[in-house]
Parts: sequence; structure tokens; C-alpha cells
Amino acid sequence: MSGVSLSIFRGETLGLVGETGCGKSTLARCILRLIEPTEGSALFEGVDIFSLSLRDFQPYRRRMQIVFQDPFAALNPRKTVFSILEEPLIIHGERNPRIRRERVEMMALQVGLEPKLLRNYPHEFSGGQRQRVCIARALILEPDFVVCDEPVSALDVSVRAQILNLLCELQEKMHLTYLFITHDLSVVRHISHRVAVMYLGRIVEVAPTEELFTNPLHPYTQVLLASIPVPDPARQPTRVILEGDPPSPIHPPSGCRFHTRCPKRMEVCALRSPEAFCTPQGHMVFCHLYGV
Amino acid sequence: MKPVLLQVENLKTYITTHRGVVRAVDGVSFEIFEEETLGLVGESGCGKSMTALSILKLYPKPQGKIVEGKIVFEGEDLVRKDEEEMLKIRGKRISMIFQEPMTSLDPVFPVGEGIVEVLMLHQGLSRSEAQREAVRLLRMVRIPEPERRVHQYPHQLSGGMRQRVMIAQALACRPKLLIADEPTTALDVTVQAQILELIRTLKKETKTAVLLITHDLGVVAEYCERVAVMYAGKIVEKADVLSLFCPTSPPLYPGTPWGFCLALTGKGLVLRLSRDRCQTSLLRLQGAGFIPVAGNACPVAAKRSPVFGKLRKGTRLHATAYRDTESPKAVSPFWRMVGRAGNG
Repeated sequence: MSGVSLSIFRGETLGLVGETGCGKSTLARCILRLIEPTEGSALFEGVDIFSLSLRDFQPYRRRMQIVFQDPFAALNPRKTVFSILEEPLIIHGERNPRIRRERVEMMALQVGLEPKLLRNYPHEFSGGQRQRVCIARALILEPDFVVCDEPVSALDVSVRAQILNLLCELQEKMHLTYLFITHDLSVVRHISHRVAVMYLGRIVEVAPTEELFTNPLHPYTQVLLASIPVPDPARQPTRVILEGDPPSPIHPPSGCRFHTRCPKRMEVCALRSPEAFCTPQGHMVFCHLYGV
Repeated sequence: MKPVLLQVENLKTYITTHRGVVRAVDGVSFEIFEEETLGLVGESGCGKSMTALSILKLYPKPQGKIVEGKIVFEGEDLVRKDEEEMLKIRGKRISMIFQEPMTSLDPVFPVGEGIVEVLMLHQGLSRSEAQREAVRLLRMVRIPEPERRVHQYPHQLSGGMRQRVMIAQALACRPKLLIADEPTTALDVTVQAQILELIRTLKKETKTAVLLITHDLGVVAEYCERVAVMYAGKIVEKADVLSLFCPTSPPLYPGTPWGFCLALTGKGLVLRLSRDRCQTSLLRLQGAGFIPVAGNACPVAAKRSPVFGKLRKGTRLHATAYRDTESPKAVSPFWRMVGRAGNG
């Protein structure tokens, strides 16, 4: 990941899309300091959380939570769901077991789990239910900001809709801000207010959701959107198919990182990294096609 | 009309579990014509994959069993074949690509080895001939530097590349039928487009018929000629792709898996689904098929009774539900009634 800048507003959902291995999850983990960034800063309500010591960062952990992709790997198989949900409360200093039990049961109800299931172990749950447990665990401390790292990719299509609905409902109820990471563009379109597109460790385009889907500016976004199959057999697809795989992020291409596969590359693309270009519609795009 | 290549008649594959008998495939009939692409759609757990596995008799044994039905492939009934005869059919006349290319390639052998093995076994080529042929096949599936790649191990290839190897392996003996079981579900959209385009071109070159299993309506619309929709072990709709997606005629079978497929393929439909997750599989254990999730029945459902378990020729479904939803967060009332499903 190199030179990524983003801002997320309170109460909004920012979708982060890109191909496998483009650095989406690394970005998320950096924000939560699960991976220490090499350089840069992150302001959370004006405080640079990267410069804090881990001890000073601790209270921020309560307010920033994450839901991981794979609910089968994210839950400790040796603990009951109750103790999984109780743990954050203990860590963040809730001493009274009665209150802890109440809060766990309340949270379970909110995510649609019956309290009687709390005694069970994760393996007794289905994928969708486990993801509900993960969501409950993330939300039990009443955070402000939640990173959802591909929360529905490991789930069946029919269960996906339920979990997405749940996330939307909870956002309204608890006034949450989401950073929603996914490689599934249709999911992004449902859930986000704004979308950021990433390619090989860089943000290439940020725009409001509908604006991005109707009027993609960056050639990579255009290709990405054109790759989605459309359920309309009468339409003859005019499709640009990308050749090959993304280059290795260990030796990224010079200049604009997309120039090796870009259908509209120019000479300058290999030489210089593009600057940000902003349109009145709220687009921010990093491409030499735009601007001067 | 092209001659029929594969005719499946009233196929029933049951799996015995400790909780009872799961009727995974419960009376499925369809046919595939030569050189066509048939899409088999439905949500997870509805029996799509079991149908495919039944054709090749790769279902879990001894729990699984074909209890009834016929699978006629080029005039021969595969149900009656024993294991030895099936070995001569699998990989040679019918081959299959699986969803997860990482788990279906053997991690301890170079990727070329699988192709070489197929060629030596079925075509009787010598090792060196087979090796040369393997390189040619890898070039055919557009893998760059095939001479080098043929000696590499699966973990050295990207997901898209692994799936290309699987395709090369599957097409090595020029089979008459290729079964592709969610070949792109584990891949990114850009790679998905590459792979599906590849299958389409190769299909034309080799004149292979394809059974494409998917839950993505977009894929169906772009790559299939005819579609069969499965729900709870049965085929509930069967039509050619143009009439299936016809925007003017209303669906005959409300509450089919379409809702689920639509949920995430169209423009902003999120379904409100029942929370009772185990309903379908439990009812299926008891032998019930489609559960009409009534209660809040939609106008269309009220006018027409669902055709349960029976197939009407040329049935149609419409896809307007998502076309007239402009806003991404809007929930179309029509699809709100669509049922719950999946075993998961």
C-alpha cells in the first residue's frame, strides 16, 4: 500500500472495492493498528491515532471495531458464544457480571440471535449466525466506527442479503460509521454512500455511489464495472476484458500503477504518478486523462 | 434443433445422514443438446451440485445413492454403469470444473502433471507426447509462458490461472460435455469475465456442450442459451434465456430462487428474508419440496397459483422487479415475499 488518503464522514458508509491482493484489508488493519503503518497518519476525531502509544490507543479500540471476513476463523472454538461476547466488556472494565449478562443478551437480540443460543459453541452455528455473533462482538462496546472486512463474502447468497440488511438496520439504530470492504460491486452499490476504488495499493477513484456507477472516470473503474455480468440477454455486451493478472505489489509498475494493463494508456502514464483531479459531481480521480 | 446429448429423466439422488434421508435431487429432468450451454441456477443447497455430481456419479459414497431415474448420455444410461466403466467416461467424454481451483488441483504435483495424466490414461499418449500436448493446451487457455508454467505448482499460480489450468485439464480429451460448477464464484469480477469469455470461445472451437452451474443471473443472461431453475431438489422453471428474462410477461413461479439471485445481481434489491434458517432443509428431510412463503403474498402470487413440482413448457419469468427500482436502497415489494432457503 502506498500513499493512500481517505476521509470518512460520521454516519456514512464508505465502500472500498478492488481486486484480491490490492491492499484493501491491509488498509483496514492499519486504521485499527492491527498492522503498524510504515508512514503516515490517521485522524480520528482530530486525534492522530498512529502517533499514540498503544496504552493511549486502548480507549480508541473501544470505539473502532472490525468484523472479519471468515466467521469460521474469527471465533474461538473453545469458548461459548456468551463468553466470546462478554470478553470485550471485561477487557474494557465492566466489573458487574449482571450488567455484562444483560448487555450480552440485549446485543444478541439486536443481531437476531436467541439468548438461549448463547450457551452454545461456535461450531453449533451456521455461517450466517456466526457472522451475527461477530457483528454482536464488534458492536457490544457501542463503537462509532466499524470496519467490515468482506463480511458477506464467505456466506451464501441468500444469507448475504440478511446480513447486509442487519448491518443497515444497526447502522441506523446505533449511528454507526462503516468502512465497508468488499470485492463484490453489487454489495457496495447496496450499502455504501460513497465508494473508493483501489488498485495495487493505491486509491484510483473516490465518488458518491450512484455517480461512480453511472459515470466511472478512471479506466480501471470502467473495466471493473464492465466486467459485471448484466442479467439482460438482449444486451450485447461491449466489453473490455483486462488481460493477465495484476502485477506483483513487491515490484509495482512505475508511474500510474495501472498503466501496464490500461486500455487508454499514454506515454506520460509510465513516467509520473497522476495527481488527484476533482470534479463538481464529487469525483476524485487519479488519472492522467483528466486535469491538465 | 441439435440432437440431444444428455437426457436426465426423473433423477433422484438421496443422501442418508444420521438425521434422516436428504432428498438432495428429487425428480429432476432436463436435457442438454449438443453444442449448447445450459445454465442451472438456484441458491446454495438446492441440489445443483448434487445433480452435476450425479451425472458423473461422484456423489458421496456410500451415503449417497441414485434411487431412481435415468441419465442417458449419447444413448447409454449412466445410472447402470459400474465404476470401471465410469472411469472411461469421466475426463474423457464428460469432464467437470469445480468452484475452488485451489482445492481441486493437487498441491504436491506440478500443474502440468494432471493434464499429462489425463492424456496418458485416456488417449494412450507417451509421457513426452503428453507433455508437449499439455503445453499446447495451456497455451490454448491463454496462459503466458506455458513451457515454464507447466512445471509450476498450484500455489505458484493466481486463482484465475489455476482455473485456466482446470479448464485445460477438463478439455484435454475434447469431451462432449463440460460441467462447470460455479467456475468463477471464487474469482474477482475482472477474472470472472476472462474465464467465462474463455469458456465461451473454447466451447465454440471444440464444439463442447456446457452445463453451467451458477447463482449469478448476470452470468446466465450473458453466457447461456437455455436455463433450468432448481429449488429444493426440483426443477421449477425451464426456458430459453430470452423468454426467461422477458420484461413484459409476469413470472409463473413466484418465490423461486430468482429472488435470491436477484438480490445481489440487480440494481439494489435487498431482500427481507425469514430468519428461520433451517426451514428448508428440515422440510426437505420430511419430504416436502417448495415451501410457499405466504403470509405477505404478492399480487402476482395471489393471481396465479404456483406450479408446484410440475413444469410448464416455455415458462416465463420477468426481470422487471429490479429494472424499475431506481434507488439502491429501495426494496421492491414484489420480491419482499420471496422465501427462505439454503441449508447452510
